[in-house]
Amino acid sequence: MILIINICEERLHYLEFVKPIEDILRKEKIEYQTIYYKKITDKELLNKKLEKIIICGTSLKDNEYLENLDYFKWIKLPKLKGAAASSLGEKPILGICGGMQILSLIFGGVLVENKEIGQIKIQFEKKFLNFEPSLKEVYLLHNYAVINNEFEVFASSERLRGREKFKLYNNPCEVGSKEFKIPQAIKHKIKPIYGVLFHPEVRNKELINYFCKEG
Amino acid sequence: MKLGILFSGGKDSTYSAWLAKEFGYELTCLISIFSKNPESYMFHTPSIKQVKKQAQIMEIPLIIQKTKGEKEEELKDLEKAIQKAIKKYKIEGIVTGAIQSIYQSSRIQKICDKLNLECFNPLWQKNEEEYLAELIQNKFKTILTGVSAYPLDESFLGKEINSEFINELKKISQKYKINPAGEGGEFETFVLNCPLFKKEFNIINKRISSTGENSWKMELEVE
Repeated sequence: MILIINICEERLHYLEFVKPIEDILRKEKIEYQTIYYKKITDKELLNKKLEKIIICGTSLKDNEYLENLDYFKWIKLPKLKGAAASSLGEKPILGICGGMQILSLIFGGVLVENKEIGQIKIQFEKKFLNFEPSLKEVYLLHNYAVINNEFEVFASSERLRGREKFKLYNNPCEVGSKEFKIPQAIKHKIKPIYGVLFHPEVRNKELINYFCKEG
Repeated sequence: MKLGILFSGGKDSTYSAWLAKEFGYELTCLISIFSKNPESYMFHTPSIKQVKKQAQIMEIPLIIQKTKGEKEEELKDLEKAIQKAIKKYKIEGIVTGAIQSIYQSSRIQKICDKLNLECFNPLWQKNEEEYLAELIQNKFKTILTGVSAYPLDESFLGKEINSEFINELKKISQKYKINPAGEGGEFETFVLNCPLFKKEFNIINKRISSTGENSWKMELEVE
């Protein structure tokens, strides 16, 4: 069973950011359960049928989840004890857009301002889930990127032309350089935790399928 | 949250508006773009003037913006219309009927971002066949007012989207690879009745014209 985590503050955004993922799973007859991130309890996390977790994205204006990262502490430090905690810590997780930001921030990453809207081509340098090294068209809709050395970068986009510095989220200082690239697909160096800044439910549905079945 | 609906009178924008209402949002105003360019990349054109009557029957104020429909320039007119809606009705978000078109949705996302508005696309990535079935289930009476993909021809104009039409379209879309929801411009629609309307429209006049090779449209007058 796949646990789909909805991070949308606005109810109507469920149809845009969560339902398309449910539809992909339903089509493949993959069992799933969807829950809003503030309502996750030990019951969902300890469910013996739980195999994998997907954290969905949300709209450009919705940054509420960034102020509520404590709800995701279970990803790094399950408050459960013994075998259950150990087992939960090994469940594969796929974070999409805001979901990728959450995964990176929970493991100590840095959020940087980086608005990208629309379809672009990105180069996968190494095999990522079922994506072979190649140029892929992806759909982007985000205000922020994340940087974290605990994650390996598999694909990145060039920074936006004309920008030389990146502002830290909620922080007046600036970081970055001309060579800076935006991580678009990442994997934790030890854990089976994956993040994509693009939206695979748009144009790259096979990535979600593969994660659920094989990832 | 007060929402402005990008409204063309066709099934996608009307169904999106209905979904927003079902989810508890306030449909504060409708925003319609009257494009002089029938080939507009952004805006639906057949029977567009009838949105005035649809707005009346829904008792929702309507903002109309005219545009020449030139690529990219038409976006400035859309932005103007949304600005009017912000000023007059204090809307906090926009609802669109985008399903698959990244071209349309990303442009509207950028305008909403610039104007600090939420952007809702309740039909985004929706399975086309499931969508058409939902329209019928939720009592949307919708007819075709434009076709522009072989083998759809003028005989399809005026056809109602019902089970029979869906079966016919399923066969056609498998053979000719057209989008079964018509979002690629394969066909355009007009909503005659739905749960947002106080009563059903009757067609009192219609005029069919050819708009190019394999392309026809039907201008309606309803009451």
